[in-house]
Amino acid sequence: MNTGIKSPEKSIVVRRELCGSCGACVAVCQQNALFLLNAYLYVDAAACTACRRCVRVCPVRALSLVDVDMQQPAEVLL
Amino acid sequence: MKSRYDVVVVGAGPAGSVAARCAAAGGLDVLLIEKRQEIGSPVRCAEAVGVESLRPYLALDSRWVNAEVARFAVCNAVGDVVCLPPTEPTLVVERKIFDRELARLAAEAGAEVQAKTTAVGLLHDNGRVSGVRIQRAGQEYEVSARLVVAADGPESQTARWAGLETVPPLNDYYVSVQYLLSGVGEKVKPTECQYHLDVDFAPGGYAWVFPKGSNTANVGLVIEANYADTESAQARLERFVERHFPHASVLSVVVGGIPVTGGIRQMATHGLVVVGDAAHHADPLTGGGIGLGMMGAGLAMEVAVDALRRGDVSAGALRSYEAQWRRRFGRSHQALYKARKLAARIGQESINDLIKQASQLDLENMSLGEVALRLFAKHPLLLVEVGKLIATGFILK
Repeated sequence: MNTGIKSPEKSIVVRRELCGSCGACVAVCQQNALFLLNAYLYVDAAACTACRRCVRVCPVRALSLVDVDMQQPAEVLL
Repeated sequence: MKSRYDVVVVGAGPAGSVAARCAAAGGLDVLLIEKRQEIGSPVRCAEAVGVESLRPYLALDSRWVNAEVARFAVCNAVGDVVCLPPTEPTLVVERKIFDRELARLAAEAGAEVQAKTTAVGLLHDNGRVSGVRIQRAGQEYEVSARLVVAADGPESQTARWAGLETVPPLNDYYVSVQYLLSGVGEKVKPTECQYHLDVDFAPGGYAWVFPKGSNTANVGLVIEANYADTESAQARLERFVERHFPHASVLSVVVGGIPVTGGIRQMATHGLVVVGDAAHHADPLTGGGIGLGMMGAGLAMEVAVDALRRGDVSAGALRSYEAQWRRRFGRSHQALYKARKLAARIGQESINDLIKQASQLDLENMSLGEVALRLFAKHPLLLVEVGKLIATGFILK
């Protein structure tokens, strides 16, 4: 359940060329907004509160929190 | 795959496979699922394990033993080394083969094993867990189970879906990167595990060099997650490798996180038990969790098989596993946890000095008390702290 405060201007972006699908980020997400499916990491943008815990722990710096251009289609953010 | 089992185990790492085998050996109908398409790969592990913890579960086999460890070499940041006998006989293993063998033994005991099969949710009935929603080969299935075992690692979704708290605080979370290096040369001795205590590379953690045979080694580090902000674990390992093995080749890259809380608060609920890294069973000092995962799973299933036979898989019945786990590991995990906090607090200069002092002692012919007094002569406050640790059960052999 998402009980945090959503920051609509920010979103987590995964750089696939860096991500090792190790799940280190998934383990620390307090909103359960990250999940691995078929070895790919996905972000539930609606649940994410932009707390940056995942960004901080990623061993290979594959995650970043970026400003969202609201004109872009939502799937770009995944 | 059937629509109903006595037990569904989610995750075929060492803990999950042992749980599945124990349940099958207890005469239960068991399904063991693994989301990876290959059990044991990719692995997230430095691959060192104590022989004693393996003994109840499988016989040693040269196919997965890469090295038998004769000593631990603990290094400081300025080149001093203390050599210690291993606290227990220790092996460096090939997890890919090791994990597959454990899963095979589960299958041989009668469990049904399915790789590339993912749990995507839990089924609930009257406030208790009653099964798992499973994705396999493009289809989704509802599989009911009298008991679900969450063995799905540090990022366990299964435990979370059951409402259990598994998210570690960042100061009790290791993040890790490891390279399998080839061409490591003379710096790696085939029977010696090296531990490097150097906050420049591994703040709040340590770097390791574990021999894998044939001029190869697992070279990696863990850092406390709070320190990942200033420099990533991988960038730190790159520097470590550049310093110690500038000419080696990288055969594989291993990444991951390890909760080092010393155990989650609640390890069972109605119809579900949590084992292995999902339950934070790893050693809260070193992060090692193969043997502890297997032993914890064995304990869990002793309780669970009995509970299933009696037809009572309520939280109350299953939490007797948690009580037994705490009786067996609670004190030592608490002490190891405190030892990590102490090591993080004393600072690099004290660590350098302690290792330097220890490297000059004849450790094999001294009592623990003598060693402590000599080591901490210049650090009286530390002596008090270490004395407290020893009193709580952290015994150095």
